[in-house]
Amino acid sequence: MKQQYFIHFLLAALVLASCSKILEKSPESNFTPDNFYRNAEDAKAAVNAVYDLMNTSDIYNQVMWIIQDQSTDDAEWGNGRSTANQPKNDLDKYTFTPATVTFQTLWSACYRAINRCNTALERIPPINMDEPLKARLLGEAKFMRAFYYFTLVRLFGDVPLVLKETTSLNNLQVARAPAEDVYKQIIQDFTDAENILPVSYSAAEKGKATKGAAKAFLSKVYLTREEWAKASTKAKEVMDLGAGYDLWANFADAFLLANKNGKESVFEIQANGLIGEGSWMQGYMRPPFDRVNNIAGFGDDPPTQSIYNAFQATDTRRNATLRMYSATGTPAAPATIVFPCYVSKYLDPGATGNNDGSNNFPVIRYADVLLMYAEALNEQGAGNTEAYNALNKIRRRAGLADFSGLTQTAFRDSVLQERRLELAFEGHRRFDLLRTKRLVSAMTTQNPGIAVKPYQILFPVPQIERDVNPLLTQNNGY
Amino acid sequence: MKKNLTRSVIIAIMKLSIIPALLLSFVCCSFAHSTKSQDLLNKKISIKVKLEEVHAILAEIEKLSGGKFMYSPEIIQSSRKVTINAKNEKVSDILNKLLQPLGIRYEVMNNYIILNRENDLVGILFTGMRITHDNIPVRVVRGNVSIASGESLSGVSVTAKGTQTGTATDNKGNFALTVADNTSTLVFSHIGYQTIDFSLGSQEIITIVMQPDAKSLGDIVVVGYGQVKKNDLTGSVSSISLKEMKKVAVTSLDQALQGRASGVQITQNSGAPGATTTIRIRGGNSIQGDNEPLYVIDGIPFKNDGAFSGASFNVLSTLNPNDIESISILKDASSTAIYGSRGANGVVIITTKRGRAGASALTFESYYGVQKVRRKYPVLNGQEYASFLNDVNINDGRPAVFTQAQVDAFGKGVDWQDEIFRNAPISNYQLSMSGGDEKTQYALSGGYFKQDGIVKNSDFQRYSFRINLDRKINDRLKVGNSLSINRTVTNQSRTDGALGSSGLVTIAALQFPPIVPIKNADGSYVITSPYLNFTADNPVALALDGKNKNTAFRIFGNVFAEYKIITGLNFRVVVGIDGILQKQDSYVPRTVSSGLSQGGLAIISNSQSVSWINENLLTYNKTIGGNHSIILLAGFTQQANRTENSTASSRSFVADNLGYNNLGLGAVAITPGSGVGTWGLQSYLGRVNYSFKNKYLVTASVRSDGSSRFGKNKRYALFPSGAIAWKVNEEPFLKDNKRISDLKLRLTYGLTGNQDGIGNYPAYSLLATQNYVLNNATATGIGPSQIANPDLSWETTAQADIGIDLGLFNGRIAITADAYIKRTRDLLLNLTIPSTSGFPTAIKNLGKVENKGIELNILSRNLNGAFQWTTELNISSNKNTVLDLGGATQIFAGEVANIGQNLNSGIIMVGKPLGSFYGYVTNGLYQSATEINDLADPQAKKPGDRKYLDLNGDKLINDNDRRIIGSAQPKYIGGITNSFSYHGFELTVFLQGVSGNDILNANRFELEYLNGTNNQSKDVLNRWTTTNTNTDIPRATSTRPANRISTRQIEDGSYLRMKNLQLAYSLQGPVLKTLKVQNVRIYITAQNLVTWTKYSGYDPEVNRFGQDSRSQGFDYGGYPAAKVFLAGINVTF
Repeated sequence: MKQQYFIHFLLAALVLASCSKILEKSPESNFTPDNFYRNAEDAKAAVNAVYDLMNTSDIYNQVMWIIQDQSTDDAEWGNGRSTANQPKNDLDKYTFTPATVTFQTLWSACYRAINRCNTALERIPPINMDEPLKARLLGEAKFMRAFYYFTLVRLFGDVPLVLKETTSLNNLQVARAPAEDVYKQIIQDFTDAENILPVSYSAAEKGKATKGAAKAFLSKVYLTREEWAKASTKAKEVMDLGAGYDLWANFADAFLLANKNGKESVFEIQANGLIGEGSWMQGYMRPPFDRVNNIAGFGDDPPTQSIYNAFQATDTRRNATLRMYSATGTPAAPATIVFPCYVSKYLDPGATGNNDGSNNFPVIRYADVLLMYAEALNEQGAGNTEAYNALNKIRRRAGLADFSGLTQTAFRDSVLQERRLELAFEGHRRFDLLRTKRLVSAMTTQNPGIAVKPYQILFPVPQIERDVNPLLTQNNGY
Repeated sequence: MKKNLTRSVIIAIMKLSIIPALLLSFVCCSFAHSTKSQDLLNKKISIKVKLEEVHAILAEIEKLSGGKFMYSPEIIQSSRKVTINAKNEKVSDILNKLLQPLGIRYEVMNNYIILNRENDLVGILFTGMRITHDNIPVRVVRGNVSIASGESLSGVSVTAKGTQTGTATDNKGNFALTVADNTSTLVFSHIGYQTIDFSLGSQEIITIVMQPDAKSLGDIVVVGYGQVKKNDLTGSVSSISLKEMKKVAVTSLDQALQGRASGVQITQNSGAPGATTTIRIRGGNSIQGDNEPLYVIDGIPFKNDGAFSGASFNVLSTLNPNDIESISILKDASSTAIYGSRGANGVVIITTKRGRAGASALTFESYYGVQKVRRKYPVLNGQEYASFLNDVNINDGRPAVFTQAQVDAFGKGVDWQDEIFRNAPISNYQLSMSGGDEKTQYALSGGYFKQDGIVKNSDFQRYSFRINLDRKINDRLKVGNSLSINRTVTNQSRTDGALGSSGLVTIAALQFPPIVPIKNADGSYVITSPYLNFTADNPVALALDGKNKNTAFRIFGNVFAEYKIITGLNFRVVVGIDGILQKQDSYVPRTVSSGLSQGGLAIISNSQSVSWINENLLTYNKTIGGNHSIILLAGFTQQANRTENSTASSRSFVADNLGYNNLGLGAVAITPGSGVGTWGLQSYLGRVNYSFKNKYLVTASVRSDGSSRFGKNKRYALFPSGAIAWKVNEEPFLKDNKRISDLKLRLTYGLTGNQDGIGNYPAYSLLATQNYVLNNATATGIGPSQIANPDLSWETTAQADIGIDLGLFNGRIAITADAYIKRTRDLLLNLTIPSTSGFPTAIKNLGKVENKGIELNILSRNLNGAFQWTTELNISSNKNTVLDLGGATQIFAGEVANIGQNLNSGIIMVGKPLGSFYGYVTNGLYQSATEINDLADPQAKKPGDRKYLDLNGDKLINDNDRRIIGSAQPKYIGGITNSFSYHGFELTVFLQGVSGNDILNANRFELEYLNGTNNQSKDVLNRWTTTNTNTDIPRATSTRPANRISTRQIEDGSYLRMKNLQLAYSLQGPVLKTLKVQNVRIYITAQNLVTWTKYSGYDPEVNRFGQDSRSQGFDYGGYPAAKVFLAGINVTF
């Protein structure tokens, strides 16, 4: 009879096995939309994800410097250094094409972030949670959506305007919306954020978008659109907000790690020294021959002689921003490098790798607000005292003499020059040259060998995107 | 629905399970004693039975008459019950009454009554040589059959040649057989032993010693869920000659298959011990999905995929190749469709050794050998490098770095390759026991294998144990198991890494300047030096102090029960498990710069993967009349896997010596990680094998697979196949042909699928961790990372195959040739979708790939006398074409890094094969400023810079001037084995090769960079200077133009390799008796002795990116292949 027991045992095993739902295997170590977005904590996490992409190499941890500095008169590529990185070389020399990968990287990252914003904006409202917190979180998501669209519209012009979470593979091809519509949405989102966001956060949430940041961005949007009165009003609102914004006594203090999220900070990208959440600037901008904690830097964003010479010798900002090496100094620069100057604005002596600095990236400093205010007032009429006050506050800290009695044009030039020096390598240069329409002339001045064609003011729509979405038109000229 | 079906099957089976109890009492045994046949038939007996089975009645008649029945059990249906009532009747009359209604004839020879079906082929033959029982003189032959060790062998079939007269040996190996007096030859046969034709002299007592036969298994080929006679194969199946395969010392069984079967391309991705292979059976079907075959080891399916780098751990190496009994490679759809959604890349079926009744053996096998690096890369020595540095500086208008005296003083400098390479031992020890009796058989083995790598501090060790048991509980029920428990420990050298990464031993050894010493004066390793201006770690420090260890523990096995429900109908249940526990330990020491910057970095990763499988198979064998033979298979199988993994790491250690053993010692903890993955598969399968007159064979199969991996809308798929074969040699017009002894034509078609290589949850919408920082602390962020595709389903491959098997000159020459065409549609493509969706890519079923090719296998027994010479040749050619990419014309693919300006190294283009390299075409160097001005190339500065063709004629050199510049896919692959044997000596020469493929030698980027930062290939001695302009090596300058992937890095990857050269001697005759052993074989072997190739790298067998179809044939800092010299011994007691 033994074999019968055995058979029954096997049959029992078979029955047991077939009962388990072996085709129903759902992810166990990933959330899915079905088992997330249930409570306030989930909502917070969904909004944290919205900020995340800024602090990746796709945006402010690399691509944004390449775009802002490499493609302007502030940084060069080559000149005795390796030119192995083709996209950087192409941006520097204006030999880029729609296939240049940098454009695709930035475009794709912004839309990934926008989809996260849209997801938060759609998934959070149904959650049963504290309503004021819910409203604030939605305000943050709108702020960030406006932030990413503002980045896109300035660099590419008309861009697709997607305001819904993507949940299906159908109907993914979206045509470009006129820049005007995009700006309308940006202003709408920043305004909604401005109305709901708090002036400041508790210590635990330090680093999130504030009311002041929303106002400063609105000022920047209006400045870009040459709506000068609105721009100056919003800048002034930031100054009068009572958030405690002010300049540090010394320019260099603004970049001390101890002063992260300090009084000069309006909106900065948060980083800690951990891999994955660290800043790349301290490592990437330091040259390979200068080792810190045994790590060679990469020497990215090498400054041009043009920006170095733009600083007056007495300008305290020069040595806080740039470091000149020489073939005979310590460390010694290779003699092949024609102009061995590197960015020294971002230092982290504690960093133990090139990608784990704890420097925040200053997207908007209070100095920027003051300069925007000065510029917007000047455009509304020369000789505005408040405009001079704002501009001279910046100059005075840099150890420079006050300006007075400038013509409107001279004031305009002075503000732009001050922006270049004060905000050097902080991700503003290309935007400033674009909105003041000085990109071509600035490049010609820096290196007559680089001929910027007028159509190159707008970047090309990435070729890969056009390949998969026939509805996307290309900017003229490409 | 499904559940109900399962339940009703179970009830049916339970009903059937009552049968064995009823049949238990049936025992068939009888004793032969000599009686004249006529006496037997005339003997009068009485018998009275009511509704009894025929078997039982025959047994009763045996008892009463003293005769003995001989018959094949298939001719009498077990269930057939008969009533018979005879009182003192002649045996012949009783037999007529009993057997005629059943269509059974009988013949009597002495005391044997032989039963045959009336229209049986054998019966007809028998009738043709009918013997009348009265006038033939007979004699009795007695004897004993044993094996060489002296142990008796039971169950050996003993027949008089040319007749049906025969018997079998009893459990003491004895037999007694009455034969016609004029019988001249007795044939002794037993599965697993060489058949012996014994010439009968006048002796009455004979002694036979049988020799094991490795080839006898070749007659039976293991196919999916069954076995068939090689003759009856309808599909394209390569069965591997284990005898030849085992002559090569390998870590893992996949390596041993190389060059053994036509249509099977095997590339050793790296020379590192325990490293992976890439296997393509009849070309690659899939672009992004998995292209590796399905392994079915003792019935348990297993995928050896996921090797993303040549240095990845090869999970297949956890199984001991010495335990293998047979390997079949299923290639065409008719053979693989029974594996449905996992059959598209071919199936490798492996069975391990099982015990045999009576054949007790204790075998000890061992070899020991030494491995040497096959070749060193020629790089500059100290003096040459110092002069080169001077040249770089002078060219850039700076003073020379060294005086001539200083240059001379460097001498040869450090040979970094010598410092990291060594001659390394390899050894193997295996003890196995097998044997058993009629009821129980066992096979046990224990093995230890150790291979030190030729790069210092790399090695592989395997401890293996196996126990396979079989037990016949009764005539109907058989149970058994296979179980192997193995542990491997692999110290992996850091090779085959990311391009331009710092911590790679082999590439650093090529790059490190020979003028930099290994150690400082204080004994510490050199980390900084004025001549180190590039990111690479001191290779000696990295090799010796760096740790990278994989420990794998694998439990692999099954239990099964086979139950004979009725004659011909069998039910088999298998429950199996495959548990793989892996731990990966890594430490980057502070003695190298990448480790120092982190204060030492320790990482520990654990993963455990457990799969279970259950198979329930019903098979039915039936021969209807003499012409129709049918085998039916129906089955239900299910398999599921769960894999869990975790990773922890920390850095900033006070000292290196504890390595990764205590993560808590690291001052900085790094965020840990973990994950869970699961999948399940539920399948129904069925197959019919039908043969008519043993001439026309038809096979049809179908499998329905349900997979957890696919979208709810498309979870189940059906994979049908069909095959027809015609044994032409069975036709009358060829039957007696002396030249053509075998001729079979085969035609097959079927559908198979692929569901691997796309992760476990490709159809789901997933959220991922997207953290941000708030107040200096990491704040959890969670957001969308993957978009759902509920329509995702299988890749489907349709394959047609036409084949011919031809045997010439009585089997002296056997030729198998096949031609096939495969079209894979609905490719699992991770397609770029508009980024505005928020997702850069999504997996969809789109696109088509075609493979077509021909295969040829020739086995020729050239000399067949005392001196034997056998040649086995296989050669095949496959052509791969991408037919459709879902609307796109091309997809850039192929891994890159800064080294190649972030441009992909390859392209997938409609109309072109997978594995196409894409880049510039170089045509020498610029020789004048005018030439430079004529073409606008932003990278070209001065004469002596590399020149590229302006392919689109726009006078501008940019990305648009690229085209396909090579293909990683070989045009031909093959292998040839020549074996010579003479009186126990055996010489084997095995050559293997590929032809027509290219390799992207990315090492050239580093070794021909000419900017004076790292060591260079010896070729740069011929660099361009104003006085040496007729060269294709550019000038030396510190401001080199950017690297471009161009024809300069594409090299011919063809090679022919003497893979194995072995001389062996097996002890003969009386010596064995004296030593009391069955068999002793000693041998010496040289592996990879000679390689004929034009490839300039370490070895043409290289695949930096492992099994990734998009980055094939890439060499960057690969682990070199070794030459191996071995001596070994096999002893069977």
